[in-house]
Amino acid sequence: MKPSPFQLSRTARALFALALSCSTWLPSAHGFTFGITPGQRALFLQVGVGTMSGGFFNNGGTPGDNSTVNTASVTVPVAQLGSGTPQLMTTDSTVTASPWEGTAYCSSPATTGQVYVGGFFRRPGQGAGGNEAILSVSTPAALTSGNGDTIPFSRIAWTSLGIGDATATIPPGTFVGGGAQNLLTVSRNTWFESCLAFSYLNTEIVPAGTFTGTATFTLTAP
Amino acid sequence: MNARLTLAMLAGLSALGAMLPAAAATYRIDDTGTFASQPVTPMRWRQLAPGRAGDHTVEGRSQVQLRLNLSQWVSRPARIYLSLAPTDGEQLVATWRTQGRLLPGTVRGGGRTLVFEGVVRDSFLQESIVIDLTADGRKVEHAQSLQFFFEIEVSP
Repeated sequence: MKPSPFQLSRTARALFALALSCSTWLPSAHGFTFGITPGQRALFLQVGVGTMSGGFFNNGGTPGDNSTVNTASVTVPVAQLGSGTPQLMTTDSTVTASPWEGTAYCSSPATTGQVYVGGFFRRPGQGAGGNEAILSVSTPAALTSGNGDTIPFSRIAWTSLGIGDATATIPPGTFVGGGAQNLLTVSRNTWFESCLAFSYLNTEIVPAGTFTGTATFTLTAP
Repeated sequence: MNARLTLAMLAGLSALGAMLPAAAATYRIDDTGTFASQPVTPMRWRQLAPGRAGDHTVEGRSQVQLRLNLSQWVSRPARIYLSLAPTDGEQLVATWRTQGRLLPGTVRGGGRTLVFEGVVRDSFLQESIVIDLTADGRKVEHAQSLQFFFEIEVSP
């Protein structure tokens, strides 16, 4: 009998059978899985004016970058020069509402000089390490005038208040001048805010002029 | 007094036994062909900012196409449960909606919830479910794998 052109050798038949069985065999499963990943880390700080779009934090609003540097300033009356009577500074910040839900939190900045400072630190987990963020402020040693005269930055102090606060979240204080100082320890997954009103302590007579300096607030998370 | 206590316990156990179905057997269901729409679900904070109220919930959603092989139990009365294996650290909550072939429900890690009770009609039950996951985001520190499985209880 003439062999068929389609006849397979024993080895080929075995391989073919194996291939056939492999192509139809599926492992049975008794459950399904999918992975989850933790919530993302986030850090937010607003000093003075900020940017929110789509509402406030509590209703899905999204914060944006805002590069505005607000000012706090005062013109000391001649009769008060160096009197030791603190001179309340006013601000060009117009923020009265908390970005959390938009309710009034700072009072009339144009007259009280209150500058909004608030933020939060989000981080999953509650184990050791990485539990706290630090709010700090850094200043040069002195404010300077165009004539090169100076006033130590430590001649500026602030009070802290917010509508409805029983106690100030950011404690009142005075700039140390010439470096960074910590203002607040921010626990993981907490919100903070205060309205800071700055004053020039006016303890000495200084040459006439406009004295300027920048205080930079920083929120740092591990 | 000890004897009286023992008798009372025996009576209690007998009463409990009378309430259970006679020797219902439980089996893991073969769900070959079941798949989740995405292998990893990122959990997102419900509130990006913690806020004054301190809402720390994270949530995520996944769609799952189910295919349960019930061929061994066709024409038999049965109960089917969806189980979630214990999760790492936090008691995660899974809530699902269905197309109607299975019951919607909620289950926590380490628990199970009834999704079907009745006579098995077909060899394969196919269903699409949407699973919403919630947990305390402070306690979900690492990526992890959630293990769901189905169990069937049938009487002999």
